Amino acid sequence: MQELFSPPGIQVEPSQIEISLNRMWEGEGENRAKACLLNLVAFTENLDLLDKYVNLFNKVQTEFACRAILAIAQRNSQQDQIRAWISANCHIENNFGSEEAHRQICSEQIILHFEGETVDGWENFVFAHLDSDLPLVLLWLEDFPHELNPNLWRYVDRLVFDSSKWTQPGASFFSLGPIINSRLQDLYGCMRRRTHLCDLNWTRLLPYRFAFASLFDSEAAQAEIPSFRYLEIHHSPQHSLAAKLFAGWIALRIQCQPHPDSNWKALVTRSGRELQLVFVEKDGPILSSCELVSESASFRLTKKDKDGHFELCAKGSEILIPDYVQPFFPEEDEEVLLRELARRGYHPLYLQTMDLIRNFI
Amino acid sequence: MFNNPTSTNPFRVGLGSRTVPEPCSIVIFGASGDLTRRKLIPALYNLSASGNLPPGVRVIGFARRDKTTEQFRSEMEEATRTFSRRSVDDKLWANFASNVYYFRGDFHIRQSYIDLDRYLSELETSQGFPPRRLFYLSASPDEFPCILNNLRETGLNKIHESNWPRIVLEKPFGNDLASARKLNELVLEVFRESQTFRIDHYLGKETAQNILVLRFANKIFESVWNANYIDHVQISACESLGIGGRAGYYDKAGALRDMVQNHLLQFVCLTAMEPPSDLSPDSIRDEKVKVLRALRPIVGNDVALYTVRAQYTAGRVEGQPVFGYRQETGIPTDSSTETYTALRLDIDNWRWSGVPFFLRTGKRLPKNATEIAIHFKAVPPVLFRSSALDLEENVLVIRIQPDEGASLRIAVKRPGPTVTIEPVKMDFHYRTSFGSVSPDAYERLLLDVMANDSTLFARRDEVEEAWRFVDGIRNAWDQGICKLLFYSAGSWGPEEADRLIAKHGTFWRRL
Repeated sequence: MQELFSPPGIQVEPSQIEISLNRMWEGEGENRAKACLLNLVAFTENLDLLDKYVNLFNKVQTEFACRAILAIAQRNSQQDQIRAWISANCHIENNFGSEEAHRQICSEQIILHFEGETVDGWENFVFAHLDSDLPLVLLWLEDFPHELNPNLWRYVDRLVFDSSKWTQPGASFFSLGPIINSRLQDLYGCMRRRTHLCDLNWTRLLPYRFAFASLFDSEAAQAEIPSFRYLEIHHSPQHSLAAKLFAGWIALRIQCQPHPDSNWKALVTRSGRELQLVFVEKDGPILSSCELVSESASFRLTKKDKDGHFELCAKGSEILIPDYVQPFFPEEDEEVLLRELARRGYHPLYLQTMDLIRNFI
Repeated sequence: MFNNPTSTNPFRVGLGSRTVPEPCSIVIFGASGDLTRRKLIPALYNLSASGNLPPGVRVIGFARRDKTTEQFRSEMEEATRTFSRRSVDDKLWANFASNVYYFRGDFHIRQSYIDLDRYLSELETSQGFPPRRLFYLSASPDEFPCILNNLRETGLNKIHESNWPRIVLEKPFGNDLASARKLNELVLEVFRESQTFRIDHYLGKETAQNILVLRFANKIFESVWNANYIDHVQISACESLGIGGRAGYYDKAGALRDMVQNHLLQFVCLTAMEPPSDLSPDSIRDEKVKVLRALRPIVGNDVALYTVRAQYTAGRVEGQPVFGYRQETGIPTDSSTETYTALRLDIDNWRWSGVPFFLRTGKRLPKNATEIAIHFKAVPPVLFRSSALDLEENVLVIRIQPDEGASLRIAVKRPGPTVTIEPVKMDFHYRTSFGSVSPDAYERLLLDVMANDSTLFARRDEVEEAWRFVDGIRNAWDQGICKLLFYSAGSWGPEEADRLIAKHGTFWRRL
């Protein structure tokens, strides 16, 4: 296995990481400014994911100046050692060929391979190599272990995960339970803690939520909200959790919650009125359509596979706006991660939605 | 207060940190002009393509030329493909263009406005949107009175229940205090101040907005942002370009009216203002007006001491030979219009007493650079006596354009057995730290008008106070108190500008 493990960059002694990185920047031209907005750290115990993470880092670093650290753990190794590889890259992009639009993002990458007993101390070693005073984003793209190290949250500013990739959503949400609860306490004004939760599954839905919200920008459309009676969401088979998050968001916005006994087949308003809820699995985009129907109007968002736009349609006797399109943004992991990093990580709506639906997952 | 349907949309709650614009009709008076092609339509398209325009925003080009909506859309598509900061997506363009219309009308004919009203009503009724209308005056300022009068006489300025009209004015807002007052009075006879948006596109730039963040979100700066620590401030707006196709306007205006009265005095305000009590538009603008009111007037013979005016002659810019100002097309051969000016300003308040603000702006200078430089006082020459003469003071520079960012010059010890002190620069560049390309200033400003946020727009009293200050200088210049100097195109301006700042014991920054 070790022969196959060949990360990009220059291998250096773990004790020489900082010195070697600094040396890389020395002698660079005046126009190459090293910039850093945050520390991006990823942890995995799956060696096969090395290329995936490196590609993800490379993509992120074309847009976002950061120090990226990938920690790969191999508990079953015969050796107890830490090995390190470093690289420093500048990505040059020139939009429209004009000098003013010219951009140059310069970042650093560190890949750490923890073997044997060194795995247990991975956090301490990684945290010793952060760019000081800048936020720490911990990227965790796999299922969460049953118990997360509680000390982790003393250092992590943002925990970025992707619930769409979880093989056991219930178990992972259970692991996150304490931190979700603490963040909810923050949200409701109890206290302020450090770690923000950022679910890329939720970030991926942002363009859907923006487009769907635009259907209700007129007084006539808003007048239909109290009489909604039916919600139908078509989603890809792999994204049933995303569909539930979307339904939860709608429920939250129209002040409903999942019916406690309906197993996701109904929402119920505060006054006890029920809305029928239908999920349809369908190959294609995450959500290929979402339709909300009231007594006298219907509102539909449609996303065709590979189409770069949402189609939006509102119909009703008082609603006269013609069908229109709204922009759709790429859903690849790298693009979604970039969008998430640009949003600074505070997601009260996500927490409120989770609070509403987690008992039903 | 009007009911904004996007703000009452429960699905919008928590989706973004800024107010979503309201569905409205944007009527551009002067739709055949360069501003519409180069800036307004590309900016509106970019807003639409990024999902920032709600459905129900319509754009109506109003101009005299005979053309159809289809022709107008086609022209605007070509312009957008040329000038947009992002490539044009065919489907998103088609969606945007389906809400772009052309209305043929004459600024001077009342019936055109009556017809416009009917046309807008039909569009609004067909889509079920109330008549919320934004009139953008992208015409020559000479046409403003005529357009405003006709808007009033045909009732297009009227407010009904939750419907609103708003007016956007492009600079110049008058050409002196008297004409600015006259224009403001006319505007305010037709629209309320809260409905009036005077655009200074410099204020829409990210770095201009960042001045307040830099000052008030960083404890270390605000605590030393006063006469105790600051020696002087330099504000430069240098251009390598000449006057382009603006000969008619520029020769009447000159650098003082074109740049100082608006952009540079706005920078002075943002740099010198006290912290506002909140970030509401009027709180910020109240503080800016206080700065303008505290400017020590430069009048009479003081004008010769505190100002320099000059005009470029033939020379070379970026290696290319260029004409002198008087040889430019459309400029009289005996023009006495200044293309360069340098000023010393003093702000008579507690915070800035004794701290001069040096301003300079000019055309056909060696490079394009707009920046604000805060020069801190030097340390007492006590500890590093042998190096004291070489000690350079700290300088915080906020670069507005190009290469937006900020830098701080500090002194450090050069490695070695002796105490040799060197200045080094800590430099922040927007383009290396933030990947995404900043939106054009017009995108931000148009979004703000639609969302009824006037923070980045000049209020009436700001405009008039700025004119009051500038008029004192202008009047003295007109009386020949400060003679017109000349500088070669491609140079940094006349030597007298160097002498102006040398009296304070310093020199202009090398940009």
